[in-house]
Amino acid sequence: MLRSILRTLPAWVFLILQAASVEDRLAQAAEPSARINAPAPDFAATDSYGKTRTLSEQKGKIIVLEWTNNGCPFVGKHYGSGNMQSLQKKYTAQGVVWFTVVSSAPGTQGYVTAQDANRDTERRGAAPTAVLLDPTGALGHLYGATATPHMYVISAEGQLVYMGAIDDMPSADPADIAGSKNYVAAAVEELKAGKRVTVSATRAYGCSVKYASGG
Amino acid sequence: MASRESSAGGRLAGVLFASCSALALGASAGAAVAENAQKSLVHARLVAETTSLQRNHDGWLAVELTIEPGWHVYWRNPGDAGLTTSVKWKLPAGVTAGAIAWPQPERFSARSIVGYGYRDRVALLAPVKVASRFASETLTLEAAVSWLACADVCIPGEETLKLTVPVGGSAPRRDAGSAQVFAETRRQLPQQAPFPVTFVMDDERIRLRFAKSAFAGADQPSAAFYPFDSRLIEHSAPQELAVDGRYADLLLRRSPAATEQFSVLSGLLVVEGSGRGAAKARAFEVSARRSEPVDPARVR
Repeated sequence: MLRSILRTLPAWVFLILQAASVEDRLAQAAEPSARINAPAPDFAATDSYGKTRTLSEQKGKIIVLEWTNNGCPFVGKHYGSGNMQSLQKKYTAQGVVWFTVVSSAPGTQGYVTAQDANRDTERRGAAPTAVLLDPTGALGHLYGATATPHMYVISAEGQLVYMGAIDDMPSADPADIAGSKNYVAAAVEELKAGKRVTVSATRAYGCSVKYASGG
Repeated sequence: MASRESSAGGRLAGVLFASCSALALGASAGAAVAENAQKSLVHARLVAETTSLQRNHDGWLAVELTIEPGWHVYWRNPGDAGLTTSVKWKLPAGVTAGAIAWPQPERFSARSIVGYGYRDRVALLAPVKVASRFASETLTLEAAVSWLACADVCIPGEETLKLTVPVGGSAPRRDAGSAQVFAETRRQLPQQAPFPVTFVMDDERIRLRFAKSAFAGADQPSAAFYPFDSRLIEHSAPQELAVDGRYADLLLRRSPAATEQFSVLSGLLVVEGSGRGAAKARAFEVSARRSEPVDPARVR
């Protein structure tokens, strides 16, 4: 054992030295700070009524974050069918805080003004706690949101317990919703039952988030 | 372009609120444009390699997608967003299709989101087997193909393709009409890596290690790993290559979504180099084994 470590020692030393510079370079790239079973990063974002919303002021409540883009067919799958609205209604009625987030940059698909956002909410019969406007993409990058829809669930203790797809049927076909397993509902139900969240990370499917170029 | 994309999206979702010129289109006009747009973005075709299929032998099929310039469709791992191109077979009893052979994809990066897929044209190959008990003289193969075509925006599409081929006892002949598709596609298929790959990982990093000889003596080697599992790495993070006397190490950033313990990491390792002795970029399919003992501190 010791002999094998000693034999490969030069390679390990090389690796450690090599990695130092790599680490510096990696640190420079924008890195999402959201990690599963770690405190969800706090944020301050303006909602469509001009109110500043922070994560810290919601402590003690389960929080759902939903990235959206009103021109994306995968968002259309879940709003056209009424699936997203019923989740919002069901869980906000139970005291869950639901933030719908728009990270589309101005001039890109899904970008909305505050007025557009409120009109969308009304037209779709949506029931989020608030729509957060994130045209700079700061909130999206903080959580590493890449797709619409991209879903996150935060426990009452402020831990990130789920990130990823809304369900296990990656398609744009609303007919697939009926037979799907909804990961957000599953995570919220497990939290409410005081259980560990079974599926904590999946791959989000859908359109890419339309961040500002270079962002 | 803008009006076509938005109109097609509007068939499914809230284009009425999109801030673009398509607002001027009426709903019915928009729907008509959407139909045309969807048809013209991707043309799908199902072809066989041979003019007939033989019982008890593997034949090959290709689902060929011709993609409108500026758009792309997705690989088995679509990357940060997107949707895997899907082929669902409907075959008569006694006929089975095998797993798809995916050509080497391209990496697309836009607005800090990375995708893997194909532009212009791609063919997905699949082996097909006809059992000896299959009685009929002809065979109709059906493939329900679905894809997501993306440029700045994304539009899903699907088509059901049918192909009828004779089933004979004698050796099949190559179909001249599909020969080019198969020849071109086979050149783009990854090879099984002839060298072992190992890895170590901690919470934040993954280090792949393989023999330096993978670069075949190229002067300025470079390498990239395309995982099959989309959740494994931060696709947009730089991949850093370090080559010493014997080994090459590729350092990847682990995705926070990769929460489980992995014993094998599968994907494509694309290696290339420039200068004297350089080989062209080659894609190898690898199944990296976790090297033991695992000491996470050493990933750094």
